Amino acid sequence: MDDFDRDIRNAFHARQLPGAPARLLQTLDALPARQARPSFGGFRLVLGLAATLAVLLVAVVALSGGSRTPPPAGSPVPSVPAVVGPSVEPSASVAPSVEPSVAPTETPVPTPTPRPTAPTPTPTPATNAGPAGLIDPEHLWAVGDGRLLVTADGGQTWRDVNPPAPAEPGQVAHLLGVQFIDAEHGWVAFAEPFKLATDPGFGRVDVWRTTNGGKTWAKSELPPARINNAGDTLGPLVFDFLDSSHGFAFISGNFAHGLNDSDLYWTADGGRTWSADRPTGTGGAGIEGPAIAFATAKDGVAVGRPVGSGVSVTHDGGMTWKAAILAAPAGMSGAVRFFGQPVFFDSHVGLVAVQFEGDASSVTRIYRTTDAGSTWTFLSQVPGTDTLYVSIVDQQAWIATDGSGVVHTTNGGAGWTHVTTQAPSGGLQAGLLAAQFIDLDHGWAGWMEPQGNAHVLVTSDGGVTWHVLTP
Amino acid sequence: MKAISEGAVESSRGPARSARGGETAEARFRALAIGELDRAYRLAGLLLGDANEAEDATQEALLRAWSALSSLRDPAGFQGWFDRILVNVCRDRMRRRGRIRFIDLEGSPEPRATGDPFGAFIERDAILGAMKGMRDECRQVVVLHYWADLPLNEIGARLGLALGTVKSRLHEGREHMRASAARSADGKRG
Repeated sequence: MDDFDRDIRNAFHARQLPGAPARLLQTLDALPARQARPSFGGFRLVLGLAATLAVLLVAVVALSGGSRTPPPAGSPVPSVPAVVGPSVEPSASVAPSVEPSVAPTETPVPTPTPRPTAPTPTPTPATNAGPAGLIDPEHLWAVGDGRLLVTADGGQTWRDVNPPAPAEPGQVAHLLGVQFIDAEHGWVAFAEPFKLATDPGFGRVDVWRTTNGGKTWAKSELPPARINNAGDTLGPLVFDFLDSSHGFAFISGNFAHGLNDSDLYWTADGGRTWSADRPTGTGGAGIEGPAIAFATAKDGVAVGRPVGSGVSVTHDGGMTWKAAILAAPAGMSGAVRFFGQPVFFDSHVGLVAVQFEGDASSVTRIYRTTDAGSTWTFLSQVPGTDTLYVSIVDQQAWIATDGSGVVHTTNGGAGWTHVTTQAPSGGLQAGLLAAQFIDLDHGWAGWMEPQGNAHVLVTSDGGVTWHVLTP
Repeated sequence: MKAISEGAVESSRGPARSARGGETAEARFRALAIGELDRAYRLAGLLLGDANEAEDATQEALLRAWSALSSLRDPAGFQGWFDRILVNVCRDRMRRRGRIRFIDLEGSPEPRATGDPFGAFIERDAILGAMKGMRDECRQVVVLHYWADLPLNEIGARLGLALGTVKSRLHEGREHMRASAARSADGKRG
């Protein structure tokens, strides 16, 4: 140990850090009931919590053929054409009630908010890259310094398309989530700024929507959430749109309030109006995210529930939920589960990647459902033990990234191919913050260079080479 | 070695009761966890740099650990087992929050006033302040080595990493801190 080692150690031990707050002791005093032993498979299903890719619900589902199923004909929720062109929208009176049977807690009046079409020829370079999404090989969105940027030429030029979200002086608005289902239709959620719990903006979430790639935006507000929103701990929020009209917004549980509190909203008019917060439950009975995926307007899953199989399933659009069946590998029934983003290919069939962290090893497996999420069966195990992110490209092609490279399969896991990565600036190793492929060639990754700056990387050759984008 | 809950009749209606003299798994878990609570909270605080997030992460890890109790083979290994869950929770939360904030140390030589005890602890020290720009993977190893005083093989066991990986991440983190400290010293001299 040299002098600098001693300096580091002394710095860490120079002052006493605070002890655990009383709430943590209270947690131990009120532990939730553990899962009863199920009768299937011999495994006691255990907890899970969603891991990666959850805030990055980009276009994988949309690009998989758009075969997910919006409400059937005759649904009491008719589709409303998406906004096109003008940013000033008709009044809420033309928007049908989203759910006649559920009294909305607030009458959403879309706020016309014109935003001048002002492509920025030279966007401000961002040092703080945030989440991003690859819509197609040419169109990406990315968050830099808290602002939303888009490119239509593979990252050569960027436009700042940030909605005119309110912000406190000197601060950017708190962006909670983004989804683009194609180059034109996108949604962005912001937390309204506030300073005190008595401020009007406290706990409010605004959803901005565009139908023209960010040229113009219009705003709606989510009805009041049941969770105890608290500033920076609000969210994250994920969108899951089935098409340009029908979709969900899901706010993950806020552990500052309690286990499994989360909020789910539904829109049938592209986000003009939103349903009341759906009863996702609270406490030990609640569902948890942060990832959700819906096969239809009725059938969907939330992955990451800290008890049971880790997967909750609904077949009535989120009004009621129950635990899905997903068995752990032999000998890992007690492992902690981390989930990737589930992907549905039609109204019944879907895939999800699950990482099991045992006390001595870690494995990542792909599971398949054919009953819209109620039961999940093992398909394949991803090679290696340090898998970080898995992209489900289609039913046969999956790509996984780890700290040293990429592995992919094109035959449903029957065989895997390792791709040696030639990453910029000394390697991709362990600097990965996120990664997602939309096909076997094109993907993006969030990457932190050794100096600490975060960047968006893209690849167009299946992960062999990566190029830094600096939106 | 027996799992804590081995032989337990688990029920959703109440706590599991083990075969050990009527002691409940809940009571044993609570006894083990209470002893680790302060340390766990501080570890999370150093990894996340934020007291609120540390509190949430520790609570989340407690609930995960409680649910996964049967994977703990030896109660004597509770700390290491719980460390791994906690570090994974912290890693997950870093990913989930989907945003990265950095403090430009070169541009702000004076430490910022902050009400967060962990933020202040990190930012007020020229060496520890470098953790703000350090890769999460390196930060985990640095904190476990220098703050928790764990040997490298033990860190590898807790994080599921090969010894060589632990060494390389520690080296990277250490050099990052050394460079930051040197910049800070230069700034003061300049």
